Amino acid sequence: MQHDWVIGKQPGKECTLDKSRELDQFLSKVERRAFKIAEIAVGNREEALDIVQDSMFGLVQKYANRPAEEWTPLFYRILQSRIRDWYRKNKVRSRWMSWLGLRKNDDGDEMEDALESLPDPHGRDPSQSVANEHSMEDLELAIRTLPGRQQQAFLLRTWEGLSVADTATAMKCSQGSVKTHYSRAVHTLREALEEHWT
Amino acid sequence: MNEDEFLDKARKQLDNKSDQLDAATLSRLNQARQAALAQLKPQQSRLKSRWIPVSGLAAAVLLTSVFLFKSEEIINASDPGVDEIEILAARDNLELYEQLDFYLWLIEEDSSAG
Repeated sequence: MQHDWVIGKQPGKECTLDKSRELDQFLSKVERRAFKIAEIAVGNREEALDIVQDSMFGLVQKYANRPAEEWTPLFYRILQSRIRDWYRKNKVRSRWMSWLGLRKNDDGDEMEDALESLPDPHGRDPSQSVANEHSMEDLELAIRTLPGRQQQAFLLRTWEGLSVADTATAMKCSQGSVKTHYSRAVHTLREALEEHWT
Repeated sequence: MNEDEFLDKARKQLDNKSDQLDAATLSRLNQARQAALAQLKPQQSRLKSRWIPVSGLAAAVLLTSVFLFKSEEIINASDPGVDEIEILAARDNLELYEQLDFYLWLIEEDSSAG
């Protein structure tokens, strides 16, 4: 027997059991990539898992009744939004830590804001990463060193296979910006990795 | 290596990384997904769970009210009403009343014969 289903916070809007299965399949399909994207962005497994879970909740809560073909850009839009929230939170935390004199680097200087310069939480640069790690790790480490917007554009376009338009939706920016960020990301990564990959 | 080849290799490497996620991470992702999907609840069961205690209480109040009202009515009933209940309760008397016309006719016949 088929039941009618409703979304918890949207009374009156119904979706079928099939919709629930569809959502399950969709989330199963994207969850690994979403986790890796979040992990690359924030450099922490637990934080990445929380971000992915929040994104799943957001999609189910707000967009379950939208057509399935819209879920991918909407899901990644939520994911990118959660990642930005994480950086904002860290920025505030960093400011307070700095104000309290608790966060200094080795030279005694205040640490640079991670949100602006982004994103490697471990402070590596691409050439250093490539030199020290195996080929398998090279790409991930190099991506981590990209500025956040370039990182998003590259992963969404290259890995998730989103169109320029969908990537713009996910990143809440214009298609022109997506093209610029993507182009710069590819250029930087090729420079950093190509020599080691050939 | 041209750009397409580079991107293809990058894609494969990223796929390999996500395919090699450890069991603990996969389990956490699965739990997160199930928790998110749990927000979708069957309308019927949600209504049922919400209304069962309310409707049960209302039914109990209604039954109690009816019982108290009827008890009072029975207690305060006039004699004919009580008589009717006694008649209904006594099976023999009921048969007598059912054949009352016949007995009345017999009495009339006896009187006219006498």
